[in-house]
Amino acid sequence: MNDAAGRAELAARLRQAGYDLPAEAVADIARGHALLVPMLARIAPQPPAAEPATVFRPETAR
Amino acid sequence: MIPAGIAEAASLFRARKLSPVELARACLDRIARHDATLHAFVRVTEDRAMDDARAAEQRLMRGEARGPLDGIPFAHKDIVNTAGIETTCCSRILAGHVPARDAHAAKRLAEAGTVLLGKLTTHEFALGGPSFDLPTPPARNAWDSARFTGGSSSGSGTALAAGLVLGATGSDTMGSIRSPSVFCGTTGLKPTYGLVGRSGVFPLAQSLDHVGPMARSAEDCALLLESMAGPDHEDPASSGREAKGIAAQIGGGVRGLRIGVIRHFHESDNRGSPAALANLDAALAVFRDLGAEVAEVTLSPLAEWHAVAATIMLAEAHAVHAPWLRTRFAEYGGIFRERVALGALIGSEQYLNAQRRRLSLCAEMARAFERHDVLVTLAQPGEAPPIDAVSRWGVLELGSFAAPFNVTGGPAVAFGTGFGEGGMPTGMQIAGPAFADGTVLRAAHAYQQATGWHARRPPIAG
Repeated sequence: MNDAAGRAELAARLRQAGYDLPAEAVADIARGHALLVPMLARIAPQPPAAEPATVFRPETAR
Repeated sequence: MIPAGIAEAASLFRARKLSPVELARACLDRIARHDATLHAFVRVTEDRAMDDARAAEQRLMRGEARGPLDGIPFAHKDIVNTAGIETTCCSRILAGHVPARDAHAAKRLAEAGTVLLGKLTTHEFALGGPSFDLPTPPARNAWDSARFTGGSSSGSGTALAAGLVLGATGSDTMGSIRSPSVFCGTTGLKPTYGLVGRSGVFPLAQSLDHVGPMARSAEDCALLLESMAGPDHEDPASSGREAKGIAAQIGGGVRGLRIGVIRHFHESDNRGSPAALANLDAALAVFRDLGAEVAEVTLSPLAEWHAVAATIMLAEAHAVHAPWLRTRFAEYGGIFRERVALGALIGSEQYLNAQRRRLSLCAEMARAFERHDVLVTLAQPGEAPPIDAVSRWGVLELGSFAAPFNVTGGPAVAFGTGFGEGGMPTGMQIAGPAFADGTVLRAAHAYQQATGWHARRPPIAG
C-alpha cells in the first residue's frame, strides 16, 4: 500500500472513531501510527488465564 | 538569601536566622528576575504567597510551627487543582477553569504550611510538549535556556534548578517527574502507585498516573512525601497508607543493600551516552564503597515495557479526552491532539493484551526484587537536547527507562550523577518494590551525601 492509500485508510479509521481531520493532521498521525503498529506487535496476545487484568470485585467497589 | 533546600530552610527558620516572609520575598524577586527567560510559572500568586508566609511566620514566632514544611516556598504543576486559582493544564481547553477545591495533595501540603508561589508550566495535559502553540510558552532549562527541561513536569524541574522554589508537585505517567529531575539536575520521586492521592489532579492515564514530590534532594523529597501521602477517599486507587517516618530514617545508609543493575536497559536496549554511562558506573562504585552489594539483573527487553506502557497510556488518555477531542480538536496544541487521537486506533483487544502483559511483567519484576532490594538504571539516555530538537513522536520511539516502573507501580527516584559532554546534568534512577519508597530515598540520599552532585546549581541560581 502506498503512502497516499495508507493515509486514506487511516483517515477513514479516524472518521469511524469520530475524527474528521484535515490532511495535515492525518499525515502527522500517520507518522505516529507507523511507530505504533510495531509497538503493538511486540505485545503478544496474552492467554485468557492472565485474566486478573479484567477482574471486577463488587465488594471492593468504592 | 535562598537556602539550598527544604531541610536547610527549616533549620534556619528554627534558628531565627531566616523568616518565611524574607524567604518568600527572595523567591518572588528571583521569579521576577528570571522567569521571563525560564517560563517556569504560568501563574504567580504573589498575594497568596505573602499571606501564607506571614501566617507561617506568626506560627513560628508563637512556637506553633506545623513541621519542616511550614513556611517553605512551593508551587504546583498546573494540572493540580488549587482552590480559587486558575488551573488550565496549560491548555486552551480549560481556559478560565478555577477549581472550587484544592487537589488532595495540594490540600495536605497547604495544611503542612507551605507557601504557595503559583502554578508551574506543564506540557499540555501532562503529555503534549514541548509545544510552541499553547497559550503559554514551554519552560526552558535553567542550565541552558536553549535546552529542553524534560517533561511533562517541566516548570517544576526548572523552577527547582533555578532556586525559584524549594519544592514542587509533579505527576508521572511515563516519566514526567523523573525526566525533568534528570535534565534539570534536581531530584524527583515517583512514589508507589496509590500512595499519594490523585483526586483533583487532571488524569492522563489513570492506571499509570502517579503524583509525587520534586525537590533538590532525596531528603527534601522524603519530607514532602510524608506530607503528601495519605488516604484519599476520592481516588479509587488510593492505598490508604501514610509515609510517616521516611525522613527520619533517610540517613540509614546503604551498607548491605542489594542493588541490581538492569544493565541491558541502558547498554544495549537504549544505549546511553558515554558520559551518562560513565557517570552511572561511577555512581555504582560509590555505592560499593558505601557497603552496598551490586549485581547485574536481566529483565524483559526495555521495548516490551515501553510498548505496554505506551499502549495503555494512549488508550486511557484517549478515553479521557475523546469528548473534547472530537469537538474541539483545533483548540488543543498540535503535539497533544495528534498523539492522543492515535489512541482512537488502539482496539479493546490490544488494550487488554497490554494490561495482561503488564501483569506478567509485574510478576517478573517482583521476582527480581526477591534477590535485590533496589534496581538501578539510567533515567535518561543522556543530556537534555536542544528544545527545538525534541522529537514530536518521542513517546513512541526509543524505550523509556521510566516506563517499567509506571508499569509495576513501584517507587522510583531520579537524580543527577554529574555532567555530560555538553555541560548538562546526567542522571540515574533507583527503583524499589511497592511501598519501598523509604528505601529508594535512603539509597539516593546516601549517594547525594557522598558526592554532592545534587548541590550543584546553574549560574542563574546565583
